[in-house]
Amino acid sequence: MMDNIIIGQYLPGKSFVHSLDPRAKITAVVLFMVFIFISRDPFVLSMAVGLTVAAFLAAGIPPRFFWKGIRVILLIVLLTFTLHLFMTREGEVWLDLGWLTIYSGGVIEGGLIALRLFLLIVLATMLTLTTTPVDLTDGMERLMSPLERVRVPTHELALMMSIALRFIPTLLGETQKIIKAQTARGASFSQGSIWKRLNALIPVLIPLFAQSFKRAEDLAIAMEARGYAGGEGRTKFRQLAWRKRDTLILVLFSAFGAFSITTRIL
Amino acid sequence: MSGSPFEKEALRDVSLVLSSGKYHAVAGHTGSGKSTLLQLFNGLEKPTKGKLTVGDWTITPETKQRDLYELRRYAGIVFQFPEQQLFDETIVKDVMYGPLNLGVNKEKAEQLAKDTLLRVGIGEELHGRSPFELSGGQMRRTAIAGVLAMEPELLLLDEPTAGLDPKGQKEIMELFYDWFKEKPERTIVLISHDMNQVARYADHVVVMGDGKKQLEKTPAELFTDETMLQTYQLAMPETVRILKALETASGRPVASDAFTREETLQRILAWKRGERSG
Repeated sequence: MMDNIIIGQYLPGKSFVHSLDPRAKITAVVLFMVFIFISRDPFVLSMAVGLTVAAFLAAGIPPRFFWKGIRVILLIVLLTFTLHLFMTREGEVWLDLGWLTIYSGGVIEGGLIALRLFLLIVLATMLTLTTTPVDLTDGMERLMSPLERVRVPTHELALMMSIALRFIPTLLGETQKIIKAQTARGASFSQGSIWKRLNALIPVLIPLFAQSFKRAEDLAIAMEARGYAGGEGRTKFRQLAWRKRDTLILVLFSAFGAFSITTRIL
Repeated sequence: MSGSPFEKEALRDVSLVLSSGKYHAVAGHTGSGKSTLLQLFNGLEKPTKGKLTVGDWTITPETKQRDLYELRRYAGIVFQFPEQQLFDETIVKDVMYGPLNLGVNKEKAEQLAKDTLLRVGIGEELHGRSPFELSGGQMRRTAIAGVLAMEPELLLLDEPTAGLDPKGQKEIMELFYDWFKEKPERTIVLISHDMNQVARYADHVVVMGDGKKQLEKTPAELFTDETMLQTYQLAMPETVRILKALETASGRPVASDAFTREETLQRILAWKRGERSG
């Protein structure tokens, strides 16, 4: 199952979405995130579906790979849908079993939330799948740079994020190695009661934590030994380049935002 | 990771028979499929095609993990940097983990753990300590004890001495060799980059490359053949290099199939006797 989580993974490629400036991509996702929850208008929602499908097609991600990775997340979407289905008490009664009543409002509300959540997850996954972690943090840092005036340590925040992202694959690899080692010592993670299975994880988690702390310390020492001093006055080896296509994407998503607000006001 | 763009075929068309009661070694470069091969032997990896037989178990792509549970009693594996698997409060408890998983009762498991710890050179005064307080070498020994305490018949070793100093390397290798000689049915499969170790301990060497078996030889056949070593980019054991150097310097043939200090000494003495008589 561990292999199948694709959030935060980067898939190398040369597609249109890969070639966009990370700042454009991040801004687009943020705009999408805010405005998709504002409007209930069918036109705006179909525009959101269109944008997501277009982004998926333009990113050139193998559908089978994507489907395998998103399955686990669909469970969360389904759970949200079910909760709304049972909790909303508006509209006509569609089903009445005495202990359970389903209203038309529940179906609509649940469907709406599930659709928004799903689209958002797909688009956000597109962002991380097509942007290298370095580009992602560079983009974030640049976008946050106005906050430096109010003494927000933007560079440090970006660095923390890039370190965290950098070590996700390392941790996954390590977890698998430790699981293998403990399996070889007779551990079983798929047998017995839930309590037994949770207990079986202890021999995996403790070595994992022990090694993470050790690695964090090693990394800190290595950075200090090389005189790392943070963001002030530091120039960048990799420069971000804003192109016409980035402006185009920004205009497209801003238009989506504008429509969304308009339907809300009118 | 089948079906993902990161999928990679590690092994292909490998046909191999490793007889029990022997010390086998697998040599080859990084990425040659050595580790995958080793993990097939105790069911940590399953073949995607074909089948293999280990002891009484036959493993095919359809085999369920559940059925491989018993196999772990038969085949133990020591990974590279095994100290990374230590987790329990005390050293004894950590070593008991394997036997307890196999269904051994608590008293017996504790006895096994203590005996095994003593055999790998972890004294009684340390048994109650946390494994995280130990030195690197002691942690390695404790982790090895954790595998030996499960009393396997087949021991799989994946670079067990990586990162140790030469003295520590020798001690660990001797430990495994003593264990191996104790009972005739005991079998070892060793992965090592150190050709001195391979030549010194193995009865049978398999050379892997590009996920395929390149050749199978005895150490005497493989390590005395300079062209073969060069073709597969394997280092020549020190003992052979000394004898070959002697041959070049003296201009008289020297038998170079020696992999221990004693054997090397014997070859040199034989060469000296030849000098006197000739």
